[in-house]
Amino acid sequence: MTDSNIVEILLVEDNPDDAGLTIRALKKHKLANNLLHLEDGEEALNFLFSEQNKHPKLVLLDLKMPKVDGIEVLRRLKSDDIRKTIPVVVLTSSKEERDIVESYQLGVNAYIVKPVDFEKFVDAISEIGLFWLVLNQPPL
Amino acid sequence: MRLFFEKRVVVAFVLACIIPVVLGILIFINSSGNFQSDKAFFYADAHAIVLESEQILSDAIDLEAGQMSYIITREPSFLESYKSSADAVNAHMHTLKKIVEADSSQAEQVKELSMLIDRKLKFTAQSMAALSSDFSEEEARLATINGKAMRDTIRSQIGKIQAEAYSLLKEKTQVNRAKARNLRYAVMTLTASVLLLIIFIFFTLNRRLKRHSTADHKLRKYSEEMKDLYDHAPCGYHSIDSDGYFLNMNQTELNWLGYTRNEVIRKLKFSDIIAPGSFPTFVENFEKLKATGSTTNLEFEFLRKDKSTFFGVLSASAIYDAEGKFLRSRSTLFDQTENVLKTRRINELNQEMESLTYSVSHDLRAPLRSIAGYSKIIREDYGDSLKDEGLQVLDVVIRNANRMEQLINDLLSFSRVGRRELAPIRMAMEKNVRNIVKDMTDKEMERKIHVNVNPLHDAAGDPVMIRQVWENLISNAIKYTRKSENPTIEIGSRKEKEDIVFYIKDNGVGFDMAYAHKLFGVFQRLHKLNDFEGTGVGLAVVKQIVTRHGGKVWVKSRPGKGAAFYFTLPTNVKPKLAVV
Repeated sequence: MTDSNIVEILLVEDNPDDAGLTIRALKKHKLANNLLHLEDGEEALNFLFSEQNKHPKLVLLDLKMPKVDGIEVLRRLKSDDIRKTIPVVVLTSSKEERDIVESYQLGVNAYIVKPVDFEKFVDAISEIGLFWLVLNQPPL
Repeated sequence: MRLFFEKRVVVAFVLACIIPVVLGILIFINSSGNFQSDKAFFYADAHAIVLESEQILSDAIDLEAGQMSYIITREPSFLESYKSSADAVNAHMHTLKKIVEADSSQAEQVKELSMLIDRKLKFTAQSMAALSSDFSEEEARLATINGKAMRDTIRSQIGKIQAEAYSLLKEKTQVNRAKARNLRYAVMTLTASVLLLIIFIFFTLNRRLKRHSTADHKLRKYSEEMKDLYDHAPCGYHSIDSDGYFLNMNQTELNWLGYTRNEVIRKLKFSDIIAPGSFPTFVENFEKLKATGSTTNLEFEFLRKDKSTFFGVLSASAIYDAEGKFLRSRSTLFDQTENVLKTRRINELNQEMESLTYSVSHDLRAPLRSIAGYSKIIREDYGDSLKDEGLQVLDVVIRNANRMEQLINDLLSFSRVGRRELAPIRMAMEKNVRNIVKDMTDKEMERKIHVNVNPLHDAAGDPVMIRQVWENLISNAIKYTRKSENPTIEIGSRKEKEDIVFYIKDNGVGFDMAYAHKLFGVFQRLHKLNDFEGTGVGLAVVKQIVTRHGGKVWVKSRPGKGAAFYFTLPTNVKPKLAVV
């Protein structure tokens, strides 16, 4: 496994259009090189709980997905002693309070409502990427 | 024995008893009076006197007749007749003396008669003796004359005695008649009194009985009414004993639960007819009822006889005996089945509403984001190959996608206001409003807006929601004074009864009051989007929040003359605010 194959950002998003926008925003800041896009929660869990894969530096998680939803992925990650240190940012359209509350109760690291306005969206995604990949110091 | 009669009836009754007794005594005294005076003269004596004296007279005449007959005939048999007459007169004389012994006056007269009789007997004896020897014609004639004289004297004396006896008899009779007359009057009077008393008692008792009967009737009617009320009142009534067994249940409740009275009373416990989910409520509150004497507004899920569900709200009070031991409950039950089912339906609808809102929130925004985002990408990546018109069209798409997002956001926040639980507290309104005003005018630094905040009354409200109200009203005022030369906003309050009226006045564009009723509706706007931006949700949110606090909101305005918005809030936190 080469360095370029190590997944730094795991994007879990069922909507390819939204995923496209997110990836484009990250690319603008050269943060999308080691990005893996998975389209539902089940795939994400399979990836994250496979012993072969190194833990990503950041999980960008949509909430509303078919089969296993984002909340379930979050619950499984944060209740796992090893994987609970992986930073998870919920990136969703929902501003519903119950989602926000539940996510934080489960231990989410940030909760971002995706802005419709593309410029704001790009700004938000870039800031997240920069913060978690560049500025943040993860535990060793 | 307890007496239930009135005093006057008792008195009348006692009198009616006493009077016949008095009457009896009176009659007894009166009649025995005739026998008591044994020294006086009475009927039988008078008759005996007359009879005996008549007999004496008759004997005297016989004596003389015997003498005469003997003188004329010298027949010895006449001598015998004479002798027996003499014996008879002596015997009758003796009897008469006995009779009059008591009466001194009569005794004197009889003594006189006795002397005359003796003289007569003596004379007759002498005459007879002389005659038996030698008796001249002259001597015989004299003896006859003397004998006649003596007989007349005796007759006269007997007449006297008889006259006196008759006189006494007459006197006595008169007295007796008077007595008898008085007695008759007394008897008549007393009998009449008794009769009157009995009539009085009869009518008094009759009246009493009538009254009792009326009272009885009323009581029966009343008790029937009470029973009807108990049985058919539009709420359930029952009583349970200390073990929870039903002692009584009204018809309404029996109908509700589908049981007959015989199936329930003393056969079923309260706990037998409730759903398992209601059991803890019963156990806890039955103890509370016994201990404190009452329990109110408990929601129970009952199981009807056919095992279907019945919801009711129950309140009960306790009845204790003299020692303070729980005897039974007085329980009322109100049918809540329909309400509970309605509430469940409302909750279901709320759930549906929530999931709808959720999907609106989530699903509608994603496509919008794509529209806006990819339009932006076209602009960035392919802008060079587009003409100006094409770029402008792309901007329209982007702008409208953004506006659509704003509409969705506002709609969601409006819906959230309706669903959020109120958490009212007493708020220091002036401080809050000044902070909001500062935050909002800071964003409009380039405009010189005069905001005059007068001292404000404190009021009760949910701070987050009330902040929303002020923000919406102040931002409106800032927005609609944009075209005013000297934009001025005035905020103030006044107390009205239990409420505080807040107002915010501006000198903005105002509007025609003909459309005021539309102002507080969702997505209602009175201005063109090109003149003033907005989605038309802000005032709908204001109305929703104020109404949920139990307040009112209204507006006064004229085109070009600014607008004044008013809303009320309660002064103090009420136990339960109106839910709309």
